[in-house]
Amino acid sequence: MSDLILRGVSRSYAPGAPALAPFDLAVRSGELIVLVGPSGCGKSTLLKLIAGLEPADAGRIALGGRDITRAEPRDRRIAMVFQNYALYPHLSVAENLAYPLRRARVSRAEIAAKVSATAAQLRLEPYLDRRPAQLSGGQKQRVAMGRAMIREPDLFLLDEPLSNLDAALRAHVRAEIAELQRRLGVTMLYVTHDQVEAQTLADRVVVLRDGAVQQVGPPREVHARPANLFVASFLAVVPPNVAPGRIVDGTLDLGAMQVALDDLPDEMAAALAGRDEVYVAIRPEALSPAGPADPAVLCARARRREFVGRTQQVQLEARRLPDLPGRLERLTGRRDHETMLWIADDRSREDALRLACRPEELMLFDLDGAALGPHGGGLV
Amino acid sequence: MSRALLLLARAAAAAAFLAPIALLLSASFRENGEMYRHAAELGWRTFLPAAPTLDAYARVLELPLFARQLLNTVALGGFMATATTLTSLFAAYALARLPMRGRGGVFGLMLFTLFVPVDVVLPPLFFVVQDLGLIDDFSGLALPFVFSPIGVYLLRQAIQEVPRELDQACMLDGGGAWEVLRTAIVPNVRGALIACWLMHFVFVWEWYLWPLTAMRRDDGQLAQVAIAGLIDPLRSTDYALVFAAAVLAILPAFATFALLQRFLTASHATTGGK
Repeated sequence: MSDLILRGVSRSYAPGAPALAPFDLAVRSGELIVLVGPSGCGKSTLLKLIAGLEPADAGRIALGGRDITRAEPRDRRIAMVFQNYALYPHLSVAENLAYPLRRARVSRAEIAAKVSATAAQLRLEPYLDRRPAQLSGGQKQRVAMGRAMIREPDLFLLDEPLSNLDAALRAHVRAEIAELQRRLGVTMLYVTHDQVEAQTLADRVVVLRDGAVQQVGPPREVHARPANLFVASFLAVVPPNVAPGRIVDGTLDLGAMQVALDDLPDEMAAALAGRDEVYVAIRPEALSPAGPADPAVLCARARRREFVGRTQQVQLEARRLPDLPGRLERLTGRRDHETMLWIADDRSREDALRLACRPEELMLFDLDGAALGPHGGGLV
Repeated sequence: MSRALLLLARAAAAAAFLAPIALLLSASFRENGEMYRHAAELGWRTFLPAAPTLDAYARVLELPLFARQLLNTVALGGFMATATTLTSLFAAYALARLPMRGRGGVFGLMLFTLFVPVDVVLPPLFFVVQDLGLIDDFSGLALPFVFSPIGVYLLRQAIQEVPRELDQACMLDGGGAWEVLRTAIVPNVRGALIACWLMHFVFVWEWYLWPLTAMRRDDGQLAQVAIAGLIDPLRSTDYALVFAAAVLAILPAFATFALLQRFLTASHATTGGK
């Protein structure tokens, strides 16, 4: 049993500017949680609080039923893999692996057995006598993993473990970490700013922004039903097109698209009742050439095409309704909302485009960025 | 053009430091009678001995206490270097890493002591050491100075360059403050430690006023103070002897420096990271 429970944990470095707003999370034993968010969102701070490297201002942390809020780092049974690996440069790989066991006064024979078992698991046997400086990035990463694994902690913390690897290696090591986590059945908290890592690795993702949790849930669910505009924009390979919309005479009007409320699913129409301004997000991959009977059609002009293999990203120019300047940028954390994107196959060549989107794939948000209707809400 | 100028400037700077030593060396091979004879004419004889001789060195070896006094300087140098490096390491570690209120203030105050010359505190220092009963004692010489703001400054900078993650990894691996210092810090600041040691070793050769005050036994005196004692303004001084003794006195410092200087350039903290 090694479930982690955080209750109201918070931390601020300067008064009035919380690095981490009061935070609740229950991690089940064996679960892989990915904390994701842009830099400065508080994700690394959270790891340090859990590891005991920084004190929490308030709240309680419990691991496997023990309250560890005030425990020393070494008494928490937590291992951490750092972004720069933090291997001891003057010790060999074998000595690096053995170090936590030596501190725990494990017998010499047992240390030797565990080091060779761990080295075998991580394919590190040929490098046991080398110094960290003589290893490649991927090998150092494995040593850091090994040093964390070897003392069988209750909880693994990984702080951007892939960001010092080159792109080709990253996918490979990512798969290795996932495989290792499943095989050992360990509880893992993984911090990254990369939404691809978050979506591919996580049992559940925790999306953070400015020290506050935006949404918690399985990645597919968070992707399908983002709780707000920020999550919708952040947790996506290509961020969705977002446009202000107005509801006039039973029609949702985006400027370039008009949808009759009667054509929307009932829950969405109900969520729009009584509102006259909303934000509408459409994922680029949800658009396709329109037929005559499609109820939601976006009229746009192709301005630029970027071909990627057999697909293309088409930059669209479409009429937009006026909006409060800067608000959308603040809500999504992104810029360049003027241009819309469409992911198409490479055959499309026309400049004047009519693109359809299934009405239920429209994502609706209120003017504060919070999700409206069935695709969001109730999940945090 | 600018490169040639730079080279010239460097050569001039090097010459400015080397010239006194070269003059010392050449004078130590002279006869006393020849010492000032050519001072006015400015030929090669002004700088080089006409008939080099080792007589002065032979006379140094006949001085009954010189070997002992040189050993005193070397031993004090070794002790001061080691003790100062240790105290500096502990202070620097605390100032760089331990979370505490007013850390910057303490550091500033410590650096401020650099502005107080030893000469100013000498009289009260003498009485304190006297009250401790340590006048004429080796430890009385050493004790007031086993702490060095420069050493702390040097090592604090070096420790701040060591990635904090290394400390944190060590803490999570089961290390306490002592273990973090031993495993995460010290192996990564070796170069700075050697620099600190060497610096404080050589510093002892500059000591003059304090040992002159606090050490009145001849066999406990430091070589440089004893050499100064050979200069007697009332009688004719054996200057060749003084110069030869000075050459012999700087030899241990020179040799130690030559031996350890290669560690100074190869002092980059290497981490397990990229």
